[in-house]
Amino acid sequence: MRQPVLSVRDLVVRFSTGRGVVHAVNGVSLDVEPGGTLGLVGESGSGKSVTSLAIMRLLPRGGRVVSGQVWFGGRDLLRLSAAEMRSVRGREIAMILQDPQSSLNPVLPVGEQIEEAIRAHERVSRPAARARAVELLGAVGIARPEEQLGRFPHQLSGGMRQRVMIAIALALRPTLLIADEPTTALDVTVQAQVLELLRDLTDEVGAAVVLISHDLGIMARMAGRIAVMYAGRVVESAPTEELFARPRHPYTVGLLRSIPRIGGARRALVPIEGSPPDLERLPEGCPFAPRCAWRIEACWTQNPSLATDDGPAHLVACHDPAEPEEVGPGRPIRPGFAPAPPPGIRAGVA
Amino acid sequence: MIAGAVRDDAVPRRWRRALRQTGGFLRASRLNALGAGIVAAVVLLAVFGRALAPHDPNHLDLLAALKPPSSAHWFGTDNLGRDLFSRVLAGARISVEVAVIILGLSVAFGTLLGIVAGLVGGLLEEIVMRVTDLFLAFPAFILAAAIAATLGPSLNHTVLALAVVFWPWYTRLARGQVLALREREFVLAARVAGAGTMWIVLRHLLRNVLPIVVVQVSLDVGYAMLATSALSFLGLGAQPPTPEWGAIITDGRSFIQTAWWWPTFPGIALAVTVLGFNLLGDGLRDWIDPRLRGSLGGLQE
Repeated sequence: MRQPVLSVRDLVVRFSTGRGVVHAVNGVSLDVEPGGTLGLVGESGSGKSVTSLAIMRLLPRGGRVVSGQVWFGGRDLLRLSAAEMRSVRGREIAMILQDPQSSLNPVLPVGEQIEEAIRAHERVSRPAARARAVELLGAVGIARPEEQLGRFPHQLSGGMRQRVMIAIALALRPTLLIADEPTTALDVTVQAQVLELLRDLTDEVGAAVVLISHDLGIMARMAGRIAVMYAGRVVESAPTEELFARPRHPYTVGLLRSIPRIGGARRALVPIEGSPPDLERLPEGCPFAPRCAWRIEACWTQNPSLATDDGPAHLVACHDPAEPEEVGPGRPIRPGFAPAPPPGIRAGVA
Repeated sequence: MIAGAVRDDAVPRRWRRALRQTGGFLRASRLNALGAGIVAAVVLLAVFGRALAPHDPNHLDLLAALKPPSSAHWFGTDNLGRDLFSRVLAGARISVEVAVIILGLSVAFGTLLGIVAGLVGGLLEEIVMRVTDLFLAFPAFILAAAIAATLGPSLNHTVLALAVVFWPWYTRLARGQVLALREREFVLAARVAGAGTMWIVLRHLLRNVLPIVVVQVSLDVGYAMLATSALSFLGLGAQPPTPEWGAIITDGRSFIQTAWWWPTFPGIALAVTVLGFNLLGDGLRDWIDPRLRGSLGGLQE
């Protein structure tokens, strides 16, 4: 593998709230290849967005990085000064936020907001910035860009606003783009167009992408590699095809079984039983153990670390990964196997 | 949107848009037009009133004392023979100046303090807000009267006293706006794009707070003028011979039986001016939100 553009190592993020400490991210490690697309999947609260905000060093109030490193361009971003970090944001790492409705300033015309993004980092004249803005709006597929410059965000549709956000994000040809659920707020038909645009433009600019989504369909189309997150950790990471064909972590297996398929036999959707752990009181062992059909005794006491499996590109954090023939049925098929009961119950039986 | 101004270059288009929006504001309601008309007239009279005035507002002419309105003296004269029309015109300038200074001071101080308090939060915010509570808990007019009385009666002290009364409103207004704005995604988006805190305050927060502050100012101008005149009426503000409206009314009060025109015309001037600013402020408040304008623009598409 080539030298990654972004390399996150053992990132730990905690939030102090009035009631206690939320363990939002608990040792995330990620690598993004130059020009590649890494998909981050996971349910709400799994730490996807917090990880991306921690990379940008823009955690909301109460949040702080407890430990870990974020290597980008030969530097640990977590150690840069505030001024150095500001010059990284926007120019080297750009970010697209989830809701185009509110990520544009409602009282400034969109043209000014694009020009501003350029002029924040480069010494260019206003007319030059304006010309670039027109060019960018054209590149993101907005018709008659000169006319749109003077429009206010509320005069544009959601899809157009997200196109504007993409224009702003790619204005300075960043080496990395973080897109946090870029299409969640959009209509399904518009989603496809925006994703296609995003892929074409990042290819053209040569930017690597971290795409955050809970939609595995989007991931299948966009991502070269997928990292699955659960309770603030990466539980499995593999090239996209490999992950869909041979998921190893029981959570990934459950995730794949819970998406509807067109064409196949009609069957009920299979939810994953139980609910994600309380991030204020994480269990000692694997956080997925209570919901897992494959759990063994070690799962209750030791949190498995991410290790290679099935070749160097496939990483999984599991004591007892699912075998290929167990993926279809969605449960272990081994003679005499039963999920290990929690330690407390075992003690009660004895 | 109607493609009225498409092929022109940027600057005229911007002006044309401003004009079109002003026209829209005036057409939205007759009261808007009335308010804007009165305000424009008052401002013009404040600037050019001295040139238009037929007499020197402080010129004494004892032979023409207490004359009723006539072609020579449109609003009549007072007991010292001063032309009341000229005095009312001169008073327009004083009222406008006073309102500008009072609101300039309180807006600059109050808004900035409010934005900083809202953005920084924590202990600073707590202290600032408790201080504003302290000021707001006290009846405003009595506080202003007390300050003016303590400093000694003069127009300057009145202005200062009223600025002290007005600023906490702007602090609260700005802080409330910033509390809502700082959680909005565009602030995060600006940070993501590499913007610093000062840039966000000046470019994004101030721009978003300003329309609301402008509306509040347009409403407060009337109150500031009224309060100045009220303090002058009580003898705490402008002192003779300053042709301040409240001071003229107070001088003429005891003559209302014999020379009704003396307190009446400055009173009408004051009432109409305050009405004009209030109408303008009410109209602006309903109009200024760009999203309201957008709902009209969006329909035309």
